[in-house]
Amino acid sequence: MPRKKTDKFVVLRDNEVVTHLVPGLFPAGRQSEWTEQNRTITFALHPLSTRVAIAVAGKQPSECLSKKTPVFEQDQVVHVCGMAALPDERLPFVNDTHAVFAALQGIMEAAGGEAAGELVAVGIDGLLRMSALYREAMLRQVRVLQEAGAPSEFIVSEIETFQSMHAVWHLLEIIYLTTNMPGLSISIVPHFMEWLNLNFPAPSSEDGQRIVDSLGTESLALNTDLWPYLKKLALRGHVATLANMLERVAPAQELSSSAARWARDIARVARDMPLGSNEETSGSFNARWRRWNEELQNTVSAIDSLISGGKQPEANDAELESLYAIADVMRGNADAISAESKSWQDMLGAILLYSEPTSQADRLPSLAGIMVEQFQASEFSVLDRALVALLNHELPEFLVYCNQIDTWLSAHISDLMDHISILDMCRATFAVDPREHYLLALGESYLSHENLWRVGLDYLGLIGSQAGNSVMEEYAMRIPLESDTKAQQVLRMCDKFKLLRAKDRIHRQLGRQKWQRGRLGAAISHFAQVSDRRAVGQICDQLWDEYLATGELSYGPTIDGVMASGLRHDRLQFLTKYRDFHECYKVGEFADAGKILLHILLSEIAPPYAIADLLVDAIPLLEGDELVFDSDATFELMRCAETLLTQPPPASGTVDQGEMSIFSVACARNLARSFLV
Amino acid sequence: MDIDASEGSSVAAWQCVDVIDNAHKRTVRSVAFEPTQGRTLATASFDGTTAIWEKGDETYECVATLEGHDNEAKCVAWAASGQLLATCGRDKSVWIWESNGEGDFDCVSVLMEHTQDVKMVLWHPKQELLVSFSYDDTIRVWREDDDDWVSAATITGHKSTVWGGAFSPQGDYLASVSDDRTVRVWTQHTAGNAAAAGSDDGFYYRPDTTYKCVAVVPDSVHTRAIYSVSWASSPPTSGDAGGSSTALADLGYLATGCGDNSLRVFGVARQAEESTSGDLDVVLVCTQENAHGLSDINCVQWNPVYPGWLATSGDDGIIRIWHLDAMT
Repeated sequence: MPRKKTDKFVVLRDNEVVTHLVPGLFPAGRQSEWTEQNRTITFALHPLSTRVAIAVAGKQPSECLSKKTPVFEQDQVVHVCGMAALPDERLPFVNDTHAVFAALQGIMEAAGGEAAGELVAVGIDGLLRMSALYREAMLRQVRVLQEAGAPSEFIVSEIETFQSMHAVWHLLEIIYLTTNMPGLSISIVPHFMEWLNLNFPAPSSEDGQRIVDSLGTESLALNTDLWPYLKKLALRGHVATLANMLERVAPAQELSSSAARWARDIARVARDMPLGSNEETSGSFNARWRRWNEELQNTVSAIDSLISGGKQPEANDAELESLYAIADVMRGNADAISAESKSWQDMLGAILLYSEPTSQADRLPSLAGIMVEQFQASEFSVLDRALVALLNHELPEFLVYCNQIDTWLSAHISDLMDHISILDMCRATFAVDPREHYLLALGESYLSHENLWRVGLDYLGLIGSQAGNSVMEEYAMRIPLESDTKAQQVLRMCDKFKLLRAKDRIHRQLGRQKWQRGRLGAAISHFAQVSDRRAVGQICDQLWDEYLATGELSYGPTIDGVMASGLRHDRLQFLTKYRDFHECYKVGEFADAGKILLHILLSEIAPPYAIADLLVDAIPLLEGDELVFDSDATFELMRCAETLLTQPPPASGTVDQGEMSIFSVACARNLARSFLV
Repeated sequence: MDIDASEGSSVAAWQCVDVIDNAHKRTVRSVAFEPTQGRTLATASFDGTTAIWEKGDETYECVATLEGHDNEAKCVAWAASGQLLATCGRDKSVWIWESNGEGDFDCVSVLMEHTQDVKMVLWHPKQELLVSFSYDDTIRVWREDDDDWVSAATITGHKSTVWGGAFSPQGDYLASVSDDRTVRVWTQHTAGNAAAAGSDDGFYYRPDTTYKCVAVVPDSVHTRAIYSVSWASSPPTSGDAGGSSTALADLGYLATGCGDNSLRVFGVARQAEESTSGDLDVVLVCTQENAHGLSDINCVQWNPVYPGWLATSGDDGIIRIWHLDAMT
C-alpha cells in the first residue's frame, strides 16, 4: 500500500486563540525560571471534552529537590477551564430556532426522498416560510434585548449581533428565494429597498420627529437638519414622506419664491413615482417610468439653469441647491447619489431604485463591485464584508464571514443554502463539508450548556452524517445521568438516533449503579436490555444467597418485574419456579409443590450449587403424610443425588452429608410407600 | 496529513470556570476526571496524597483524601466504570481504591512488585485490568483474583524507564513509550494459536497468556526520551468511501510527546493479510517540531469525543489544542 511522506507544515499562529489563566502560574517571559524551579504544566481532559483541568506539576522527583526549593501558592491550585458557555439570554432564541431547524429538515426529507434538498420538491415558498420564521425569531430576540432596560455592553453587542444576522439572512432570502421563483422574472429592486430600509433604517425616526415638531414654528429656517433629512428621504425612496414634507415646507417665509415653487413641483413629481405591480406588464411600467424620469430630467435642468444663471438670489439659494440635489438623486445621477450616500448600501439602493428599477438579482454583482470601489473597503466591518461577498455571489467567503459574526448564523445559513442547492460550490472550496462543520461546532456549543443537551444531540443527529453520529454517540455515552428521568430521556434519544453503543454503555452503567445500591430488579432489567447474561446470572446468584442467609424468600416481587420484560434466562426461571414451589408449599398444596420441585431438577435450570438445597427441600415432601412423589419421581430424585455426590465438590457446592443421608432414607421409605399404593 | 495549531474557524475562547485552591501542600502531579459522570476530579500530589473533589452547585469540594503512599504520588487514574481508582508513586507501589458509592474510597490492594518508582498507571478501556509503567524498565499487568489484585504478567523489552502508555481504542493493543526513545506496541499471545492474537478478548488475561511485541518505532525517530503517548481512532472522513488514508491507519493514530520538543503522529495499521504474525505497521504521518518552543512536551491526549483534535502540554507552561487535517 502506498505510504505518504511525512510533511512539514506551517503553524498559523495568527489564527491561534489564546487564553491566559488569571492569576497566572508564573510571570510572563520567565519560562526558563519556571523549568529551573522544577515546575511544568499538566492537564486532564473532561470525559465530555468540554472541560480541562490544569495544574502545575513537578518534573524532578521530590527527593531530588533540596529543602530550599520553594513551594508556590500557584502550585496548589487546580484550574478547570471550559469553552465560553452560551449566555442564558439566548435560550428562548435557541429553542425557537431549533424547532424551525428540525421542522425544515423534516419537510425536506419528507418531500425529497432520495433527492432530499431538491428545490422543486418542496417549493420555494416552503423554504421562504421557514426562512421567515427564522427571521422572526431574530427580530423577536432584538426586541426582547432592547426592552431589557439599561443596556450593558454585553446586551449592546448581542443586539448588534442579532441585527447583523438578520441583515445577512434577509439579503440571502431576497436574492435566492423571494426573487428566485421558477418561471417568474422578479425585480430585486423593491425587495432590496425593503431590505435596506428595514435593516439600515435612515433617516432615523427621531430625526423625523424632531423636524416635524419644528415645522410651523419659527425655528424652521434655523433647522440645519431639515435639508439633509429631506435628501436622505429621497435617497432611500421614501417618496410619499418626502412629498408631504416638501409641501409643508414650501409656504415657509424663509424660502425664496423659486425654492417654494420647485419644492411644490418636486413634491408632485415624487408622488407620481411609478410603482410596479404584478398586474402591470413590464413594457407598460417601463414606459411610465421613462416618462417620469424625463420629467425629473427637465426639473433638474430648469433648476440648474436658475442656479448657474448667475442671477441673485437664486445663485446663492441654499434651499434651491438642496432641491436640485434631491431632484438629481431621483433622476438616477450616479454622482449626485454618491455625494449623498454615507454607505455603499445607500448608494446601491438609490442607483437601483432610480436608474434600474426593473433589475434582477443577477445585476447585483457588477453594481456591487462599482459601489464598493467608491468606499474604503479596508474599513469595512465584518457585516459589510459578508453582505458584499453575498452580493458578489462569493459564497465560500460569505460563509467564513458569517461564522465570524456568529456561529449560529454560519450553521443555519449553510443548512438553508444546502436546501436551496447553492452550497455545492462551497463544498469544492472547503476541505470539509461546511454545513456539517458548522453544525457540529454549534451542536458542541449547545452540549456544553447544561440545559441544552437534548437540543445539542438533536442537531448532531440531524446533520445526518457519519461524523455527526459518531460525535453524538461519544457524547451520549458520557452525559452525566443525575436522575432516572434524565437517564430515560437519554435512552430515548439513543433509540431515536439508533446509538446502539451508547445505549449499551448506559444500560450497563445504570445496571452497575442499581446493583451497588441494592435495587436488584432494576439492575437485572438494565443488564437484560443489553443481554448481559453473565451479570443477570450473578445477580440471581446473589438473590439466592440472600435467601439462604435469611431463610426468607423475599425476592418474588423483584423478579416478577423482570420476568414481565420477557427475558429468558435460566437463573431467572429457576428463581421464579422456586418461588412458585415455595408458595405451593406454604398453602399446603404439596402435590403441586412436588411437581414443581421435580420439574426444576429435571429441566436442569437449577444452578449446580443449589441442587443440594433442593434435594433437602424434598425431604418434608418425602416424609409427609401425603404421597407426593410416585416411584418414578422418587427414582429421579435419587438419581439427582447420585449425580451430585459423584461430582467434584466445588461444582456441587457444599454438601452436608448428614442431610444427604436423611434424604436417602426418606427416599427409600417413600419408595416403599409408593409401591404399596 | 497536516496539523494546524488553530481553534478551527470558530473564535470561541476557553475561559477559566473553576479554581480549586489549596489542592495539596506541595505540587500537584497528576489530575484525572472520573469518566462516567465527569463531576468528580482526582488530584495526586508530591505530598503523597490523592484528593477527590466533587463538583457541587458552585464549586469543587474535597470529599475524600486518600493517604498511603510513603512519598510522592506520580499518577492517578480512574477505571472505565468509575468505581475503581489507581495511584502509583515513587515508593514503587501501586494502590487500588474502590468507591463505595457515597464519596468514600476503600483501599483494596497495595501492590509492591515493581523494583523502582512507578511513573504511570492506566486502566483497560473495557475490562478491569490495570497496567503500570516503571523506572525499572518494565510494564506490569494486574488483574483481580478473588477480591484481591495480583500481578498477571510482566512485560519486558524496553531498555530504560517506561514513562507511560495508551491502549488502542478497542483495548486490544497497548502502546508504551520509554526513555529508550522507542514506542512499542504489545498484545496478548496465546501459545499455539497465532490467529487468536488480537481476537475478541484483546488484551484480557487468560492463564496461558503471554504478551508479545507486535511493533516498534525505532529509537532513530525520536531523539530524546518520549514522555507521553495517546491512541485514538481515525476520524471518519466525510464522504470518503474508505480511501487510502483509512487503510493506512485502520487501528487509529498514535500521538507522542517527546523531550526533543516535537509532537509526532503515527498511523497504526494491521499488516497485509499474507502476514500471520499479527504484527502491526506503525508509520510516521506527521511531525510538529518545537510544538512548545524549546520545551519538552510532557503530555499528549486525543480528544475522546471529537476525532482529530489533540491537546498537548509542555514545559513552556502552555497547553495547546491541535487539529489533525486529513489532506485529500
